[in-house]
Amino acid sequence: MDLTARLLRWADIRPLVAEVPGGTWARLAVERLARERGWRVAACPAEANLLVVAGTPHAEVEPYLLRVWQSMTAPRARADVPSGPAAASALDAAVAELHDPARQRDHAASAVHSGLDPEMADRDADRDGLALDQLTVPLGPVLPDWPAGLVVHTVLQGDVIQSARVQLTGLAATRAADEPVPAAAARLDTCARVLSVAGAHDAALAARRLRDEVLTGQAPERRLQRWAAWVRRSRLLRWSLAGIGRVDDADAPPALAGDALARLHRAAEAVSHRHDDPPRHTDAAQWMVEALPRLLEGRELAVARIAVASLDPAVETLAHTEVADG
Amino acid sequence: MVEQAPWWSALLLPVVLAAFAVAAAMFGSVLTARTAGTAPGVAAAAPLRSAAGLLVRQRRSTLAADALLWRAAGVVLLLAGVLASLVTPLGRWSVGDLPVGVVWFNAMEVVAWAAVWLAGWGGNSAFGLSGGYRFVAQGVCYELPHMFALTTAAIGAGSLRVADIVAAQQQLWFVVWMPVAFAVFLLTVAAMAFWPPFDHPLGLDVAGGAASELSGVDRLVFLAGRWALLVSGSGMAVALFLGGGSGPLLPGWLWSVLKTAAVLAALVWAGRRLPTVRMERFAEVAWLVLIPATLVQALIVSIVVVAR
Amino acid sequence: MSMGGFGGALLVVALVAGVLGALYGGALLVRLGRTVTGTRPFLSGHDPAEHAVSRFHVRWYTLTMIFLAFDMEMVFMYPWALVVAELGTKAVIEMFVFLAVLMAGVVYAWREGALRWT
Repeated sequence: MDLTARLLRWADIRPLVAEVPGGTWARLAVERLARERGWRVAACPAEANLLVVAGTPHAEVEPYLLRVWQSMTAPRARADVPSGPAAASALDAAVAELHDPARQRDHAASAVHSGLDPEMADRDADRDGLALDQLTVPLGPVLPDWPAGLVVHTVLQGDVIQSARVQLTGLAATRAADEPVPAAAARLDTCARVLSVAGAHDAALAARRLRDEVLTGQAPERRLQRWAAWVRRSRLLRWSLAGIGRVDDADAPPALAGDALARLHRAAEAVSHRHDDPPRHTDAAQWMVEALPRLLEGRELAVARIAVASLDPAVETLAHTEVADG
Repeated sequence: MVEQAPWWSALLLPVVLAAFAVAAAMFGSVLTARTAGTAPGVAAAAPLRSAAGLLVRQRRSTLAADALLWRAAGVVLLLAGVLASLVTPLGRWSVGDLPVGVVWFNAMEVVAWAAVWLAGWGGNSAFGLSGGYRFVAQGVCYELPHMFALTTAAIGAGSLRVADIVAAQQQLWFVVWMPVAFAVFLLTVAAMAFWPPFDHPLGLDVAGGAASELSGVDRLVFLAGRWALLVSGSGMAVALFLGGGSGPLLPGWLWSVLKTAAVLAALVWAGRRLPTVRMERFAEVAWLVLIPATLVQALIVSIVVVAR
Repeated sequence: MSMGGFGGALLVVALVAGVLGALYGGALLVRLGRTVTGTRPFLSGHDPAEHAVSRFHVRWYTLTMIFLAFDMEMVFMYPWALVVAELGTKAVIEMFVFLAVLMAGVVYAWREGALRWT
């Protein structure tokens, strides 16, 4: 066995998880398996060697997935995980592909130049009337800790969002038959995203583990309470999240009221008291999609990411509405 | 006390730094495994497996990237990270006991600003650029408290030579009467090494930030450079504030190793617990809280030095 | 003796160059394939509309100006640290009055919003 093959077999697995609408259960299964197998999730294609597509992608989403796939270099593999139960076998097959030197050499040989030729950035006036360069930076659909099916087209000046436009993609693939994720697990999932985007690595991982355990009905009370207590007590977290994504409109769904910190504290509270009323509503998703541009414009990029993670619009629920209405 | 070690000691410097970095990375990985509820034994090998993966990895360069500056970033970062430890004594020996050791250490750390910004800029990627600029902001805000903390130790010893600073702590470690300088120094060592909670330049929210386009061995070198900076900073914290290699019973070099390992472990542990410190919110803290705090500390130390 | 120190620095540079050579050379031997050029930068799955290299937010220029004022001060403070014990109270007063003046500048800049992000 040559050295390359040996190192290849020994190398770690870095999955980049791309969730498409309707793929929540698949993503939960993939994240659980990744955690149990000690895989660290990648933040970008350059870091990843495994592209995991959670859910069944609509044709609309495929071009995005293809572009991400093309920007990954060998060793690389793609795992299509249509549903939760399919996750383990799909990941196993992908790992086998990653460990196969012959197939990986083929991947290496087939990597292509993108052939693009973008233009230089254009200028426009900033808040003080200074003309500085602007960049078009779309957020989503393939982005870690980002709601499935959501694309926010932003125009950035430096790291400040000048304008934001919302687009929804791949909703037609959602099946209304999918069972919703139980309230406690869904809350923990949202908390994990907020904590992850806010860079609280340990607390985010703990929330994901608790979420997986809640789903199998084995979440130990002590660890749950300890996590919730940390979220409530961390001063630095309070400082970091206060005032972000504040919703105080009269017409806003009450579940969204307050800032990212208030929403996180409420969710942690509900989880620790084991409330099981559903946290998400279709009207909330609809309201958020309409309110997002207003909430994001003029914000710094990191703040915008935290705001979106904390609102966590369940965009895929909108597909059902459209089906029901039409 | 501390003396210039023979020339071949320079050969050991990268080895010692690498050993610290690998051990600390393994420790971090075991902590992660504990939170994730998986086997710690398996997790300990994860950093090495990650390095193996980066070695076999096909390299890439992005569209219209400034390839030279971009790749230079990792090389420069690693070089600066190792050179920063040139003046740090291990027990009795120092590879290069410069009369301006403190300034040398600081100068090497500042090289990281250019390196990380170049890594972000060179890849011609919006997320990378954003990460690079985040580090510039972090550097600009946290470098001054860092320098005042360094200077405070120098004032206490009346010398910029690290050996003299260690010698001046014979009676009393500087951490005892310069606690603010020590705390700020540790905080800013993490900030200079863009280590969590100061990891916003490599933030997940901008898809890995300054490192988002780095792959293969380029990524490995860049991350190794970051570790070198963090280990160098921990080693300097021991020399400036924790009495260097002084301690009972054990030989000096072992005390240096143990103290450095303790500081490093504390940084790794704290980084996992705390949420990211964003300059968007914490620039004001650096300028209006940390700088005045370190200035008052420096003033107190100056008065003590003059009075004695 | 200082020659010895800087000589050590040159030796360390050579060593790190050797380590880098070993890493890049080793990667060259075990890599799966040649370097891919012209990959698109990650943009959530979209193609870039323009080059990312651009003039960033104006805030960095003001921040850097405040920093530079203090950084120049550090050029004085390092040598000052060596002689403060000798020169006594006068040196302490002079340095900290100077620092207080700079700090007043920071407070002014802060009030003007130089440290404000958005």
